[in-house]
Amino acid sequence: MIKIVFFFFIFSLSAHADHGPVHNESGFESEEVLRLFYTQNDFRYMLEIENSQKLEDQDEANFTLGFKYRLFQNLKVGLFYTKAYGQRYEEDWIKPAAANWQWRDTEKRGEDHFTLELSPRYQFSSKLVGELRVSYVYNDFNSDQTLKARPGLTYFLFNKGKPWFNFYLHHEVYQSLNFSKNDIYESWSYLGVQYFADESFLLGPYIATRKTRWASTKTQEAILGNSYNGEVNGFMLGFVANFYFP
Amino acid sequence: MSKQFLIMMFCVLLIPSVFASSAKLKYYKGEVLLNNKQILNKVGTEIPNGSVVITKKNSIALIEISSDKATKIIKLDQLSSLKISELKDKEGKTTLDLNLGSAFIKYLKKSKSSTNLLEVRSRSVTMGVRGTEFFVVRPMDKKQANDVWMCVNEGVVEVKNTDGSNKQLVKKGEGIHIKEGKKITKPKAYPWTKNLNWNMNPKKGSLENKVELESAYRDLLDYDYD
Repeated sequence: MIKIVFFFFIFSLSAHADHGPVHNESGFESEEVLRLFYTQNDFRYMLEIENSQKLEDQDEANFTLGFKYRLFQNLKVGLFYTKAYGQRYEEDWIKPAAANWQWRDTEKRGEDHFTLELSPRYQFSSKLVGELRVSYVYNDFNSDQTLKARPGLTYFLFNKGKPWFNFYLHHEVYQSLNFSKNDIYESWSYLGVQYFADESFLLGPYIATRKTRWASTKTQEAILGNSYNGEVNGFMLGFVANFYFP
Repeated sequence: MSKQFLIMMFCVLLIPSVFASSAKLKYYKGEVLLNNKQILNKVGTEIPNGSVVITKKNSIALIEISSDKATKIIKLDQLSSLKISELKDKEGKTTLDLNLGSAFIKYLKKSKSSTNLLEVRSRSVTMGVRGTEFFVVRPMDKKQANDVWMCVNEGVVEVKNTDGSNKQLVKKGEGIHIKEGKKITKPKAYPWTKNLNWNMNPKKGSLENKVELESAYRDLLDYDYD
């Protein structure tokens, strides 16, 4: 019990630390994801609702709608639209007059993101599948373009011939195409397990580490008189629930 | 008796032996039944036209159907039921009905004739054999009891509905899924067929096929969770 209280004490300290002009921070984060899949022939449609609580008091909510199409046996293409709230960019780190540096409140700022995704897959054995997911993301809010690459492995466990659990390991990097001084401005590593409660219902937790690199913009440099780089390291605990129709 | 009469009599006696087709038990393991009554426990036992061969759990039956034009070897997996509906019709064709379970079928032509001399039926589809080696299976699970799967190891197999409404040619390395015994999918390579045991010679190793059909229903490459 003492350990749990200590854990939350540390968590609250790290999540609510005071920000200086250069924001370096590390601590715990959390995320909840709900997905609904609908399959029709080679198309699989997806509705995703994602809510996350990140360091520096950042609350994100993303609503994604789109589909994946199985172009070849080992290749899927996906097209998605996301309405995103709570996103932050380097320009959102501001210094209002007579106030400290702080993040602009973006929780109610809705943005339109469009994603084109390619995911070649390879089955190494009857239980192990590898995937390289490459995504191009266009952000209509600020015209930012990002290339994401996510290699990963998924291992399936079966019970009486039916999927029982799957374990996955992913690593994802975000490459800035037309913004940020840091080419690789964010990276994630995921380790998760999912339980097949039913053929149409799957749920499970995951842990992830996040590294986000911040760099000063010209406006910020003009105010500060110098440039800066910051790094935020998050350790995330997430939970996902997937429903499949039919 | 004249010489001509003797020659004619010789030919009449010879005709059935030259064109006859017979099915025999070539190998067995475990409990194999003929028409759900007689226990087949002797290699070489003749299996009459119209008979049903049934294999119990952990059992295998190897059946050879020979004629002057072709030899067909059938490896009947455990928990299967195969009816030899027609050993040889007027055109010389053999017709088999797989009622339950799975079977590996090897077809060896003795002549260069392109005539299709083997037809395998299951549910409302027929498989006309142009190739030499293929596998047919029906799921045990009640939910998929009306499905049929087939894959080809050598040659080509023509799959069609009995009403002729759909027809597909399945080539070497490809498989096909007949959903609900009617809807024939397009042929493609299925990962689950990679580990099928095609061996039909007990001297060359185990005949047991350990691939579970459940794996056919779990296309891991199609699995999306995010």
